[in-house]
Amino acid sequence: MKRAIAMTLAVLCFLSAFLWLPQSSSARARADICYDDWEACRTRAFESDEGIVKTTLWLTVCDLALGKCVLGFTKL
Amino acid sequence: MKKPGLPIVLAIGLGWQGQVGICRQAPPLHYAAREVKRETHADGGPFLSHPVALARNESQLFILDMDDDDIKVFSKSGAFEYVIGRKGQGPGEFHLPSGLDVLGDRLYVADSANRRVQVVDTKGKYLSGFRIPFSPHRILALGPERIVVMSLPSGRDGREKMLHGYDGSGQLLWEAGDSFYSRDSVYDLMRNRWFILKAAGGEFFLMRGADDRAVRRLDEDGVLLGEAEVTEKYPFQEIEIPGRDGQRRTLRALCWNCASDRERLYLLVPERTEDDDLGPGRAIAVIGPAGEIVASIDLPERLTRIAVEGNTIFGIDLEARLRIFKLEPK
Repeated sequence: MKRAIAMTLAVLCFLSAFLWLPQSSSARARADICYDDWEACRTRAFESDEGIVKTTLWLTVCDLALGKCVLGFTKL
Repeated sequence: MKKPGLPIVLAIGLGWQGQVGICRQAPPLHYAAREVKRETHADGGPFLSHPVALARNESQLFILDMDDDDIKVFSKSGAFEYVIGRKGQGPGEFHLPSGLDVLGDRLYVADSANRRVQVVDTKGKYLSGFRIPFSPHRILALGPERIVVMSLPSGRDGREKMLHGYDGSGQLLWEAGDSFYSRDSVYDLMRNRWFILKAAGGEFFLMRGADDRAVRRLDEDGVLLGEAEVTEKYPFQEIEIPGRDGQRRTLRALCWNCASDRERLYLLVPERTEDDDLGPGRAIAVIGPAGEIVASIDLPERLTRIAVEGNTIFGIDLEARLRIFKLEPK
């Protein structure tokens, strides 16, 4: 019985490593892309030479887009 | 070349090294900027797509173009000469460059989206470069072994260092300058609109574009040497901006862009726009070492970026054109 439980746990660990880790690294890569795009968005906004209020609104859009991107709703 | 005749400041004043004395200064002088050159294509359109930084050496003017991912090179008289770089990730290529400085015949580029600093010569030949762990925003080359890189704070991790000193090989030497932090990332970023400008002796000035009157002078190791306050007579511009949770916050803007020349700071004063925003202006206040206004300059048009050399103002207008002006006493 103990052997069966140990075997089951080992299989579960093995499967989770294969099934979960690739998703995790893919999610991390996706988040990295989101943050890269967010930085680019902020840089563009900051150097836009639009007025201060417009720049503020643009930066807010950058933040909102980052949130949506990280949550996977859309890409920036 | 006619000298600008900037005022002789009869002052000992609060100097950059912290000396204190009696201050008696001449009233500010007033100058008008007379246009001597407007650089355009033959079809009347601009050469430049989105110029974000101007730098000059003894013989040339360099304009960093963020949208074209290159550097446009002009003569001091405003004649277009050639282009350096293109979009990419390889040596001598740029992606969303946002900062530029020149030291002799070397150009230092804050290659923002590639997260690196690149050094090319004034003919465009790649010389060196190094990667950094953030997107560089502005850059100053105080010497071949002292490069100051400014970052934009993320706004996520509390106060962050905004100034990073590197040697020529990319070794981090020091960090300085804490960002403002209030958990409102957009408002914080607007307050963290800083400028770094060259001073004499391998030192540099640090100015915050809003909500601060201090002009700080730092050495090549990021050590604060002295501080002066811009006079209250300076035409600060206040504006309300939308903040977090629907709150409105007030920003007291100091300058839209600025330049330094011969220990003077040239601050481009923000101006109200037709839609009641605050944007690039057509007045420059010249600030002396004690924070006093030593001169004011009226420009015929709004400029977004400026560089100054003696009595010559190089500027970029709202149409992304290079404009060159000579100063004349009013």
